[in-house]
Amino acid sequence: MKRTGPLGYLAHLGVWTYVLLLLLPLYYLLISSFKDNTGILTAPFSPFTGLRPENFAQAFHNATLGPALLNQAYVTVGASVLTLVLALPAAFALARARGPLGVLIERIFAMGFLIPGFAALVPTVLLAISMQLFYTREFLVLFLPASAMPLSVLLLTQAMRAVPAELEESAVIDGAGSWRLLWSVYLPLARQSVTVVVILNFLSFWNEYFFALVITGPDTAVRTAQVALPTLSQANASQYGVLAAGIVITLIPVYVVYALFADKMEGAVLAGAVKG
Amino acid sequence: MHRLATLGLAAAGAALLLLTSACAGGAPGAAPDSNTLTLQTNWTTGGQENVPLTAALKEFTAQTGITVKVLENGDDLNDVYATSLLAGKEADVLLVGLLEKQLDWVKNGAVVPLEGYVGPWGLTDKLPVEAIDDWTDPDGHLRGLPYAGFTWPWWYNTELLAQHGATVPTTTEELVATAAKLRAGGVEPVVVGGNDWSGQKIFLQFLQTYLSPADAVKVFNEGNTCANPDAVRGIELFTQLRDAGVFADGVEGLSADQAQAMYFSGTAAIAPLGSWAYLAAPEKQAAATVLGGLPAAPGGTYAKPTAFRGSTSAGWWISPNGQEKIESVQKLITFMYQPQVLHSMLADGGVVLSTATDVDTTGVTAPLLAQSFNDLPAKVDFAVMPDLHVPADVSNPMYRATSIAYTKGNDARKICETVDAVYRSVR
Repeated sequence: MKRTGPLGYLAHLGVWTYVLLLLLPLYYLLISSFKDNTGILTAPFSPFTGLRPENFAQAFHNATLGPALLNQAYVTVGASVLTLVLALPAAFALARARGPLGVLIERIFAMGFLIPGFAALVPTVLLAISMQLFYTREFLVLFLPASAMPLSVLLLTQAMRAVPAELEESAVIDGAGSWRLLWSVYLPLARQSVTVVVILNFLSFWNEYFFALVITGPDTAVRTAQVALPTLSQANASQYGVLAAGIVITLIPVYVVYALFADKMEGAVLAGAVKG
Repeated sequence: MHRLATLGLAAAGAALLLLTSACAGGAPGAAPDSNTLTLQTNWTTGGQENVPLTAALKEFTAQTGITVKVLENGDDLNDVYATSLLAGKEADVLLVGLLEKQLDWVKNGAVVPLEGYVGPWGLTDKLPVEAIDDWTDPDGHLRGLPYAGFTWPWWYNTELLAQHGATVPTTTEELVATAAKLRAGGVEPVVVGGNDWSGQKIFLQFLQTYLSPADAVKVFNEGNTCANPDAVRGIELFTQLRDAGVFADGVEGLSADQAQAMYFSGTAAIAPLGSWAYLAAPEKQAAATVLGGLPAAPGGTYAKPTAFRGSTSAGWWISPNGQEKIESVQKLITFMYQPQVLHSMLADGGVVLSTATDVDTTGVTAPLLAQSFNDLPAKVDFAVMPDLHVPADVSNPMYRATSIAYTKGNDARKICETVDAVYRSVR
């Protein structure tokens, strides 16, 4: 069905305006990464204020982004894997639970949304110190999943509830135990939701700054890229072009991951949209 | 089989995590390693001053065998250091400025007082009395050892001024006339970050126009601006010049970086900029710039134009951990005060030193840096730098209050009441 007439043009105009609004910050970031301070601050949206590709090399060197990106990847992948390892069995159990205990536990997970991250800062730091894990990346790998569990468990629980009971009964008759059920029946059918959880957690963990700053600290051996980036900017010696170049560099892995999983994520969203 | 494999994988993962965690953890109660020092600083790799610092640390290691591990932070250094202190893992030595939260570091036990080290370490003749005073807290404790300072003059683009028939103004009347000529030619006159720390300092430079240095210190310290007629007179001068169009349009919304960019691009002809910008200035602007001060007001305290200077840009601080390795720390710090290191800081890093040592200024090629040593002191009087006297918890809220001062329509009474309200709110 093809929509024509003024309403159709208006819809197109709205969509394209929205797309442009989304692209504007990216455009600003990209052109800024090739400019110097004067160019950025006096002609912010003009691409014609001199080309400084050396900003990227400076950002990479000055913030030691090589090790920082590896640390970021280590923390992000470690925390993402641990989140899945914990959330999948929890969601599986909650999806199959029929009693009031299951409802209670699910509500406890939902209440996790009510705890603001900053409220947990002081106890988290004290915990890291008492565990002898302060200034280590491993504490972040252990801690970040705690912040991601509510959303991950609730999303996966809903996805697993959609698995037909007949499939589970057939598998049980064939001798499948709980782990086999999870691995061979529930997980494949919840694959799209798992992808959504992976992407959301990846983005959240990759962009985490404050806990990484306070807990891993400034040592280049352990600091993450998000902690390294602000060293490119100071109160009276900011180099915004170099900082923008650093941000672009740290964004690349995010876009690669999104590009790899985008179709699956869109599929999951669309699948949810047509259900019912 | 699959079940076993899954469980085995999970167990292996957990074991690996615990193993790496154990390796990463420190050994509590272990004796401090005096052959390694940790230095935390905001002289980050991208900054010009980091070049001589890195070279000096390399030379220090070659001479003493003591390795110095450098931890770099931007503006988040305070938070990171405070947390590391809680964990007992703070850096041994810090090279950072004296402002805001650092003002209370000795009082809070975050660093150790250093007055007992100056004499025994042979630094007495290397640290001027004024700098020692700046770094001494109200309880008489020396917070850190002064190292880098700054000058904060007003920059005048003589090329732009000449194009519009003006010269460098030396009085406030001349400044108003100069601003009018510049505006007529489409050039913004004085540009300053009216929305941040830089605007606050310049506002307070005006405020003290009719105050004695002692009274300026008292007002900065306690507030009560409205109750001091001379302070109010200074604010009235500020509003009078503001309303005469001395400041650039929209100055109340500008940041220090935007103001600097406007001067560097030639959009504005006059800007109060600190010594941190000397090396960053484009060649053309640097060549055309003459350093001066805020033009003198008739009847004001200072006969010459005023500028700021200070000794608080960076100093050496020693943490409780550093005190446990005090011999190594002594070696590092005394090395950093050696004449060749100081010369390198100046010539290679553009660092304005706050030491009393006669530093050899040969090799200083940056024209503005050279001007600040050779010409500026004779042309200006140095006004009271507010940073050390405005209480730490007043500084930040005052940025917002002073941006009101740059907004047209706000009179002296409203401005002084807003400033005083900030002082009252933190008491």
